[in-house]
Amino acid sequence: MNADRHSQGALPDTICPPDTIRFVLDGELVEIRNPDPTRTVLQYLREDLRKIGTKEGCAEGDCGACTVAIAELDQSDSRLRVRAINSCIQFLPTLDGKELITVENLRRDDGSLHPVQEAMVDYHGSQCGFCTPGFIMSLFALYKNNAEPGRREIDDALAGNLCRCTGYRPIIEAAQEMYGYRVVKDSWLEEPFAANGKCGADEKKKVEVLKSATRSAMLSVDDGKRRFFSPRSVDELASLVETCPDAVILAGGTDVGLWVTKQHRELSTVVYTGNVEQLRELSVTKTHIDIGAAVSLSDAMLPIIEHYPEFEELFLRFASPPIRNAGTLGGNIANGSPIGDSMPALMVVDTTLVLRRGDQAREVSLSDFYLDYQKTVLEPGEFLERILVPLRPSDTQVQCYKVSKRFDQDISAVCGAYSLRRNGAGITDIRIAYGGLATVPKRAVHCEAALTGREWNEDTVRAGIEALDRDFSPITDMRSTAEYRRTICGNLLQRFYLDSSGNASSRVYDYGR
Amino acid sequence: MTESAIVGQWTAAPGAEEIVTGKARYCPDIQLPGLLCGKLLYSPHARARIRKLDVRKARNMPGVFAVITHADIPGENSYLYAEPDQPLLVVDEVRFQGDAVAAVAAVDERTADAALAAIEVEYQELPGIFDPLEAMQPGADQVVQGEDNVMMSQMYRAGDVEAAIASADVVIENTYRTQWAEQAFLEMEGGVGLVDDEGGITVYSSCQAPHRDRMQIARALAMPESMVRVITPYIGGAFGAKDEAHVQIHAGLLAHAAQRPVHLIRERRESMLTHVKRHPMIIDYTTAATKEGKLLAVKARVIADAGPYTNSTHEVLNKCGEFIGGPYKVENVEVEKIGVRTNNPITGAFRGFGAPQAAFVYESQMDDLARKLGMDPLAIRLLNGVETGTKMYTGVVIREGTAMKASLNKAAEMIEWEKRDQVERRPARHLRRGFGMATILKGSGLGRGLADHAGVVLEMHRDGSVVLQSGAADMGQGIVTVMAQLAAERLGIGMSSVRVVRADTAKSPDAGASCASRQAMVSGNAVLEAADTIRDTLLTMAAGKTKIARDRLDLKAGRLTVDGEPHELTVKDLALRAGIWGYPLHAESLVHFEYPTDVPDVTYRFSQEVFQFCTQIAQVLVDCETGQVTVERLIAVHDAGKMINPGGVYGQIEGGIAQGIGYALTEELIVKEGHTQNPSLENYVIPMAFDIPELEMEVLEIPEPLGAPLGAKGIAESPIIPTAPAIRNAIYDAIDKPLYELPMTAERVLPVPDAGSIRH
Ligand SMILES: Cc1cc2nc3c(=O)[nH]c(=O)nc-3n(C[C@H](O)[C@H](O)[C@H](O)COP(=O)(O)OP(=O)(O)OC[C@H]3O[C@@H](n4cnc5c(N)ncnc54)[C@H](O)[C@@H]3O)c2cc1C
Ligand code: FES
Ligand code: FES
Repeated sequence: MNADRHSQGALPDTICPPDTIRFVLDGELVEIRNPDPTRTVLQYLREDLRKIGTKEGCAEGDCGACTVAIAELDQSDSRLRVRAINSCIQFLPTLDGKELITVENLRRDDGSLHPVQEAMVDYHGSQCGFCTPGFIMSLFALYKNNAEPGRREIDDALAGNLCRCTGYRPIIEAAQEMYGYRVVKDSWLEEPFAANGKCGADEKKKVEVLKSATRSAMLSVDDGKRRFFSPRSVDELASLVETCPDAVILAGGTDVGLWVTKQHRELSTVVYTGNVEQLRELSVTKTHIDIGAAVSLSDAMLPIIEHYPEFEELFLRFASPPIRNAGTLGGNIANGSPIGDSMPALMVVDTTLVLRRGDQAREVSLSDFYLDYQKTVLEPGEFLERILVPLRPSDTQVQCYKVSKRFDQDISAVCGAYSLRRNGAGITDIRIAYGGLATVPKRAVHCEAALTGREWNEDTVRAGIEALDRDFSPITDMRSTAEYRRTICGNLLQRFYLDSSGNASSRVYDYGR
Repeated sequence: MTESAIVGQWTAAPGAEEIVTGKARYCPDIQLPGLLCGKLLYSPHARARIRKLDVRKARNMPGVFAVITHADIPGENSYLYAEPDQPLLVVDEVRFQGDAVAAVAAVDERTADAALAAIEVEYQELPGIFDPLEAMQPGADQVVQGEDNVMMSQMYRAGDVEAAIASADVVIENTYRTQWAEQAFLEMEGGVGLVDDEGGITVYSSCQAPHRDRMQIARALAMPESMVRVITPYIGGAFGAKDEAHVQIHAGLLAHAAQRPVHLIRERRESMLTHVKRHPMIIDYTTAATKEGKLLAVKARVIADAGPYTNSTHEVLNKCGEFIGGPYKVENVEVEKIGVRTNNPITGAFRGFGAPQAAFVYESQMDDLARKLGMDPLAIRLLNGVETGTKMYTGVVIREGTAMKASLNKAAEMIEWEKRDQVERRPARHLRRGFGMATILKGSGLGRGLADHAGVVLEMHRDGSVVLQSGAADMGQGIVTVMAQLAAERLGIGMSSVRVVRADTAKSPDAGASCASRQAMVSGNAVLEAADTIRDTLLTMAAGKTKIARDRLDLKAGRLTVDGEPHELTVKDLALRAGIWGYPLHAESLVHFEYPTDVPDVTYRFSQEVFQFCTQIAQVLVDCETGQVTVERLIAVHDAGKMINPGGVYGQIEGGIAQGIGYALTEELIVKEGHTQNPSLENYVIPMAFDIPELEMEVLEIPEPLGAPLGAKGIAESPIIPTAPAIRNAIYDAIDKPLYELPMTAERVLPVPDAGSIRH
């Protein structure tokens, strides 16, 4: 990328060409014409701008060394909302219309430190320091989104960052103490989160700049080798996907990004859903939680947890905040990984998907969506538009258990979900689904059949466990052994039985810390 | 010295501000005009003969500045840590998945990748040797033709083990297995090579041993060492794996071949496939004791899978055997140490250097023994524990051993060990709670008979500021802070007046490697000696000027003091005068760590004589339905000698324990037929914030008598060592099931006896 592609000083939207991305960095509006669509934000920072503060520790979203913050307009278009993301798997054109904040931006003009930085120095938060810029940015996002985080919230905020030196305690302490420092007045960067905080002058200014960078027409970038489209409406998206069925649909990029950084795949055409108005909508109707396919996991999980508190732990353990901020529920479902975490839970509550092709939409049950390993019922030119999660019927018990080596940010060995309706002791309706046991996340139909109509007791559960052998023949891989998976899928059903009949809970959070 | 202004205070690292603002430069951050991208072509096979290696196409590609193979190495084609048997670029046979066959330097990453792809290599795959037990059998196929697969086999005997076992009331015999563990430092290995004005080579190196790197680079280039310069920028962690050289040598070779600067940074996958891992070991262990619980004998056979090359296998096994008896009085010891070549990953240093494997075994045995005898785990350890004056089976006499029992007692007091049975053992249907302890010793320093020295250069300028040059690499463990503190303290100036130049072989004297918990001791002493020379000059001068007796003078808080009271002269004034009057405020020192000569019969080779003692107690919860283990509490009582930087000491303890928890529960490189299945941070699972309980720590400051600066001694390694066995013993306590294999995954914890399952 040539430096001359950068120009500073904004062009009004009307004359901003559709092939030029615009975002704010270092307080300036940056414009880049036809950037390489699959260049990552991290490569852009480190290699093109030679801003070396942001580090690379893995290039696949696992370590958090590359964490940066993104500020964008919130739903009201009048306030900023800030989120940490992993720059190593984020494609550059997705920055369009946003502000990128890196560790270099926090230091004050007079050279003194931001409260987050000061706390990290004072509480010995660094040893080798290589992880530190990433932690600083995760802490910065916490600072801007939470006024008084408890240990659990701090652990969660740090769940995307690995540190091999410190054992984390000093960083946790810095997180607790960072609110106690002097801040520069009227600086949006320095104001910690306050529940009813007003929009200050500095924030207003930033809002105006971002508004001026908002575009109404589709962004379409072509660097000669690769193309990138960012449609604004679902109709635009539908016609694009229909006319180029080979295009890769990009949502949060937390799966797709790795195709490029790890598998070195060439993506010649990318269609980005992140700016499609309708796909970003999230609402709760009388019957459903209605989630647009481009809604981030961080946003989508909130109403789900509200209606199904039993799924809270699952979503808190789903990847890490930076991954959940970028990644979408739609991407998790469409990607269809055998160990995708949301699907078993959403299957047992009978989630329906709205699929769209051209101007035709159809509904498919999530339980029927997967055909085989990474194969779904999606036809060429078709895409996932919405996810409809039914509101909870009052007499249903649900539960979900994720089993992985590590509590946070770890791929499941097995994930089991259950939903049960009873009439007295009799089972009227039971749904059971597992991830990690087959080539796709799937319902345990034999087991369900063995249980339905029977009494919910130990004998029945034993029969159900036996039937699971007909549903699944798990394999051994680096995450677990076939034997363990087989044992666990039965044990989890047993656990659901014991929890549901004793009103107990076996979630890790409830006894962990 | 009386009370300290700086030593003993929580002190931020001199580079902390650079780090938190993103200004600190690590190898990947170094930028130079015309910097090329270097890459290595690694073997896809665990063992194969190279039938053809043709780099002509790659060489002719536009944008490619150098492609080198073994044939293009001007000097020696080998690493040199202990034995020169690992090639830099393979000649005819690749022997593990991390062997490299060619190196390229190109204008950018894409071109470098294309050049690698254009290199034609024809491999003839050979059946590999992957099981160390099979590899040891006579007649087994040889990993290196003409060389015995048993690369090392040593027997050490003290006393009469067989007689002691025969006379014992109880004998406990078990076989233990440990895993390949990965250091997982956050900054991957890297180097930047460039040609300097005189045709020499300068290399920025992410390393633990800059002077040894210089030697290795020089011999590969066939250049005098005087023409090679190694500079350490900030280093993002190492934990042993950067003690041996990695790609910095290739960076030098490529820069030389291209006559341009070359950047060579491993990717995470490459890093995990190539550098040395913690040795997996199979340890047969026999403990013999009286019915009162007194240890009579220990017999161990340690078999380490060494991978194809020697690396530091001798040294690691040496330390493993040195500590295999634990911190206990036991006279009859027999330990056989066997290192076996295979086509598995190479193995070497990782925090603890053989001691974590040993401790897992001896501390597990101790609990098994206590159970068999119906004794309390604390009581049996106190009964057998070493003390000051104890003569170890190695012949070494413990000079200061108070901390062994003191740490046990303190840790027991902190967790209320006696009352642990009053704690709810089944807090929920599926949960079992347990308590377990482990206590260990680990030496600091390289060991008797080895060159354990460090030099520094110290200079005070006319404004009272100081520059300190040392060859000690700081990978995050904090030696730079400690050295700055010691210099500041002795010269009565503030920390901000001391600038430590990061190790640069053109400026700093050799301090040896940053390993074996040694630098605070050795380089620490060197700093004190150099600082004292300058301090002497200043005070002598001051005495002459003020006509006050020299012994009433001191330097403190930037001033001269008289009988402890501040005088009007500042250190700055004195420094300025020294400059004018021609007193040189420059000092160099070279300190050898002296091993005492009064212990005539030390029979164990290279034994250490300064010991870190510590005890950890873990409280765990085991989930009987999933097999998962949560560490609820962890008590750690460590002896650090005098703490120079308490922040650093606690940081080492906490970081070590976090690694210990990973080693105990989740960390394992899964290697199948020589192929590592999980070379990523996604699938090699190290602990995150949630996994570490609030650690309850106590540091005992028992001054070290043996030549340590102000009574300080190393702390870097011991914290990782007791964690795994403490957790193992806690799991045993919780579910009544002893485990003999690391890591203690859910798969191994299940089935839990008596878990009350309703199935079957
Ligand atoms: C470090 C890390 C940790 C992770 N941890 C977890 C975890 O704990 N549990 C888990 O389940 N997953 C995990 N993931 C995987 C990933 O984050 C999720 O699958 C995420 O939900 C993907 O969403 P996305 O928006 O980023 O998808 P993308 O990467 O943008 O897309 C994923 C796939 O979906 C397709 N797609 C996206 N939107 C649509 C659409 N509207 N219509 C049709 N196709 C579409 C894309 O073409 C692509 O094939 C992890 C990933 C990383 C990098
Ligand atoms: S570099 Fe590791 S998460 Fe991005
Ligand atoms: S300080 Fe080294 S990885 Fe965190």
